[in-house]
Amino acid sequence: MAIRRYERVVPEGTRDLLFEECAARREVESRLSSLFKARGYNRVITPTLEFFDVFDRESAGMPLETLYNVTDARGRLMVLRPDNTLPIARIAATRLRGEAIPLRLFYTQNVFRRNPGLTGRRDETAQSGIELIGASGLRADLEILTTAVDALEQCGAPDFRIEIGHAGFSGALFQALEVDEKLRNEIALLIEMKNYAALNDALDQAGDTAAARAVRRLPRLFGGEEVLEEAAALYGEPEAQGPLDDLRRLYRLLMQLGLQGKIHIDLGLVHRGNYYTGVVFRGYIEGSGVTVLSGGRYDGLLGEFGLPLPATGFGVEVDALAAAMCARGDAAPPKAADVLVFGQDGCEVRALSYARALNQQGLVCENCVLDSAGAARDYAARKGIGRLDIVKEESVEIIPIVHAKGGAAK
Amino acid sequence: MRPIRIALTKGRLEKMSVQLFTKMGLDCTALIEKGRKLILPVGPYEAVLAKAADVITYIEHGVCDVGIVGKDTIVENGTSFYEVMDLGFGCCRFALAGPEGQNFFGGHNVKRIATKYPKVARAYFESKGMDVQIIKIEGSVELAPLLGLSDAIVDIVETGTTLRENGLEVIEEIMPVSARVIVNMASMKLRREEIETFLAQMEQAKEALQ
Repeated sequence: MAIRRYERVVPEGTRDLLFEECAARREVESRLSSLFKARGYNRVITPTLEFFDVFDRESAGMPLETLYNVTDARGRLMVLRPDNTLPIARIAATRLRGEAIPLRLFYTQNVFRRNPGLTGRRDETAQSGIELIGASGLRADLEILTTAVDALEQCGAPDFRIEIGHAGFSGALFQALEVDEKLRNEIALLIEMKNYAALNDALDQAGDTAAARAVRRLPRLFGGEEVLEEAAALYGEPEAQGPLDDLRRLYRLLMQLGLQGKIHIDLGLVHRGNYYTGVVFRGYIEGSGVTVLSGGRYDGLLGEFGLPLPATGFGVEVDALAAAMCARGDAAPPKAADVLVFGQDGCEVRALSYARALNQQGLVCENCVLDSAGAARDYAARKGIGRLDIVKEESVEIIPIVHAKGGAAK
Repeated sequence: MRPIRIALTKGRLEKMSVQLFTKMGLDCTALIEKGRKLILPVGPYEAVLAKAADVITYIEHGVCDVGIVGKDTIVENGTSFYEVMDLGFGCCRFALAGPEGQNFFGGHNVKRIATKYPKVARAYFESKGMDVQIIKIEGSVELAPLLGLSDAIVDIVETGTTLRENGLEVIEEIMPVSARVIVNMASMKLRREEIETFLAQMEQAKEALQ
């Protein structure tokens, strides 16, 4: 039996992007890049292949079985980039060590993760985002969050929500729980999934402490500023008050920007990657069932690479925003050329120069590679090109073309 | 914006789900007398009936907002959605079962396990530090030990009657199972008020049913 060849298909989890989809992705990327550049962020590109060690850290929560891995010529384990924040932390702590801080960096590049087959999830996705490195405090958090809001607005999302939480608050509660490490991690996951039933069962093993009572309530602590009051009343320990004060100040400033109803507090927001230390947030848009934006403060991560600096940032799922743009019909459909330029025999070079001159006027010109003016005319009609210019020895004949489907083409 | 869309698990949980909706004061006529239509109006909402694993797929992708599905399907297939309520019906349990009177844990040979839930079985034996061979079976799993394909099975057990009638018994219980309400994460954020109202009504109806 012949060996089966996979030459006419792409691997599951990857895809070709044609025309509208391609245009939508580029449009989203370009709007985000313009926004980030306008705020003083500089673009970096990191390698698609990196050593596994960059991502192999407790705090990253990226198990090897979810990564695409290969070995290099010396047998060292390498992976296709599964995340953008870690490579940028590596750059900041090594190549940019000694630069004036804060660093403002942005990226637009793909990440690769293995997903279980046949679930409709993509293994290769485009992400774009910013990292603000070397800055702690309210001003930095506010900058990142307003940029996140602007990112979603710029991409034309008709309605969106951003929920903010604080890893310092949930972290203080988890640490105060009198349970072992394994159960503590399990409890964090149950809170992330708002699994009230299982959470209650798990907490029955944690005794009736103030922390346990507060954790029990944690997944329901979402809404407006009143949530912060409730949280403060539930758990008054000083290590939890700082985070709540941070959130209150941040939330009030965001409300001054008129973001009522768009920004909610969710104290039960717990990111799976546990390198987050401060304000964390996620964004959702109408028309997409997935989290389209995710980020937060990670003050401990750069220290793991040898340069202890505070940092914050977020990443946007470009594909999800592009898909929503396509679904709204906002993506540009493929466009026919404005002019088809045909050079008569002996006028091929003249025709190319003529096309170049039209290009300079801003017209899109296709150079006709067919052999006769008649064939050129049929081709223009079939492709919906509105004008055929026949370049002759002494002159150029301009012929308007009627569209094949009837009616004059634009 | 489209109405809130609810995905219901066909079969075992269907009848109780309809009772629950009726208690919530929703008009379930279309759900009870379903013709060939696949998307059915239920009060101000829309409902679809789907196989259990598909309920999870629809919720994860956000094409349905709220789902009712068994915990068994969640642990086998679930990844990212909110699991907000235990409905307290459709109760059964995951169990390891094998031929009556046999010492499953005895001997040094690697045991073979037949199951419809390979992920659950793998996690269970991993937690016991036991190396087993797992075989996925689609239909009546009880058949596998009877035919000599496997030493035991991991399956959901309701009353245990099928097991007993075939000379099998529960060796160990793995975890309890019941119907759960799951919610798409983006829907929970974008349509928070509608979904919270719906869930609150459901919570009340659930109390009334018990």
